Amino acid sequence: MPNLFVEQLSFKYLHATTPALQGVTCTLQEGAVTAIVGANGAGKSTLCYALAGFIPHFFQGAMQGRVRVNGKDTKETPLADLVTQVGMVFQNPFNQISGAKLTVTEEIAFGLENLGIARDEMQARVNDALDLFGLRAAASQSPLVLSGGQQQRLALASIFVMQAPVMILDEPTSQLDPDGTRQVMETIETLAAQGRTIVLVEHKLEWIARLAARVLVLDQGALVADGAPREILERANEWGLNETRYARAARLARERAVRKNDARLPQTLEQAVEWFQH
Amino acid sequence: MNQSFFLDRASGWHALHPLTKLAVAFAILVTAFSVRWMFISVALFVLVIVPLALWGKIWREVLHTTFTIILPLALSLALVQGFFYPGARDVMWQAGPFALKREGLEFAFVTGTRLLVIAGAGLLVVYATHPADLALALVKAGAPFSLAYIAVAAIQLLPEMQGRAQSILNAQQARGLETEGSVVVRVRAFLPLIAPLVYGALENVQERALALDARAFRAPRAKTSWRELRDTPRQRVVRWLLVGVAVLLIFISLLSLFVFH
Repeated sequence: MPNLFVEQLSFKYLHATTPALQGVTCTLQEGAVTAIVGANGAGKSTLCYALAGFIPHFFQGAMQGRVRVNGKDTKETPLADLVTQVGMVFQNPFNQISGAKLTVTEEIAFGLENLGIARDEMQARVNDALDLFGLRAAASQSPLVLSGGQQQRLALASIFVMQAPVMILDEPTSQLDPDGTRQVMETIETLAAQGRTIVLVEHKLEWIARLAARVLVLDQGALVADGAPREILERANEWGLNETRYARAARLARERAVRKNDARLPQTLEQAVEWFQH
Repeated sequence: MNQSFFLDRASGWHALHPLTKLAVAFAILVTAFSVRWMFISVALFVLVIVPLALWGKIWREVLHTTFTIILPLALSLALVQGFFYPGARDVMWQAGPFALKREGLEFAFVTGTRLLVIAGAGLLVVYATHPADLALALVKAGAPFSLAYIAVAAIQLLPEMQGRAQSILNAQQARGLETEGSVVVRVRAFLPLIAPLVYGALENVQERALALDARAFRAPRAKTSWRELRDTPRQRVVRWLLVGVAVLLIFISLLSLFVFH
C-alpha cells in the first residue's frame, strides 16, 4: 500500500516567473527507497518541500493539485501534525542543529520535547537512535563539535525518533566528504532495510544505484521518467546527469569494442563485475 | 574550542535554579542604576559579583572576560568624556587646547563601572547556567517558547559565528588583506568581513527555520523536557525578595527624580 500520493502537482513560488513543478503525478512505494534525480533547478527540492508539507505551509506561491501522506492531504493538515507522518532532512548538517542543546543526546530529544512525548518514552527512543545511528560514543559531546558526517547522522537520528513512517532526504550528503557520505548512505541503507519509506534526492548516482528501488527523473519541473535504477541511470546523460563510473567504463569498453556486450550498462560494482565477465 | 559559554562546574551557584540566578543578576543591575552613589557599581562588583564568581568557581573566566571587554571601553570613555564632556568646568590637567575635566572623568567612571557590572552580572548567569535549563526555566515562568529559544540559541551559536568570522578573516589574510596592526588597520579589515558573515548567516536562516519546523518547533501542544529543573521553596522566597527589593529601588529612584527634583 503506497503512503505518498502526488496528483497533478504544480507549484510556482511567489514572485517567480516560471513554475518550479508542473503537473507531477506519482505514487511512492511503502517501505522502499525512491530516488529523485535531475539537474540543478529541476524541481527536486520543491517536490520534497511539497511532500513534507512545507509547500503550502511554509513557502508562499500558487499550488495546484494535491499531495496525500498516509491519507492526509498536506494542504489541509497543519505542519505540526504532518511532522509525525513525514520527516525531512536537509542539505546542510550545521543548519539542522537546534542551537539550544549542549549534547547529542539532548539534540536528538529536541523534536520529542516539542511533540510532548513523556520522558520515559523519550529516553527509550533516544537510546535506540544513539545505537542505530552510531552516535553512542558522541552522546555527551556538543553537536557543534561533530564532523559533517556525524552531524548529518545526528540530523537523521533527530527525525528518526519522531517515528514518521516517511523520511524525505534532500541531498543529505551534498556538503560531506567521501567518508561522511559513506557514513550517511550506510545509515540510510540500514533504515531502508528496516522498511522505512525513504525519498532520497541525490546527485551521487552510484549510491542511488545501490540503495534505490525506483528512480524518478525531474526536468524543468516535470516528471519525465520513472523506473528501475538500472533502466533510468543508463540514460543519465539525457538529463544532464553524470553517469556512474561503472556505466562509463562499460560504455567506453563497448564503444572501443573492447567488450561486445549488449546487456544494460552496469550501475553498481556487482553489476560491473558481471557485465565485464560476460 | 569551547562551543558554549556554559562552564560545567560543580558549585552551589551552578546548582541554583536559573530564575534565582537571573533574579540575582536583575537585582544587581537595578541597584547599580538606581542608587545615586558613584562607587555603588564598584562596591557591587567587588562585594557581590566577585564572591559569587568565586562560589561558582568561574572567577577566572568572569574577571578575564569582563576586563577584556570593559577596559578598552573604559579607556576610550575616560578620554572622550574627560576632554569633551559638555558643560564641564573643573580642569584637572591641560595640554594646549585640550583640558581634562573632573566632571567628564566622573561621568566616565560611573558609566564604565556600570558596564563592568552589566558584563559581570550577565556572565555570572551564562557561565553557570546550562542553556537548555535557562530556556526551560523561562518557558515555565510563562515566557513564549520561541523567545526563550531565540535567547538560548543566540548565546549558544555566538561562538560558532566567531569561528566563522575568524575563517573569513583567515581567508582574507591569505589573499593579502592586512588584518593586524593599528586600530585603523583592524577597522579597515572589519568591513570586508561583515558582508560574507551576514550574507552567510541570512542564507542559512531559511534552512534553519525549515529544520526547526521539521522537528515540531511550532507544534501547539504542551512540551515536555529531557532535563529536570530543581527548585526549592527557599529559592522561590529569595527570588521574590530580590525582585521586590529591585522594584522598590526602581520606585524610590523614580520618586526622587519626579518628586524631589
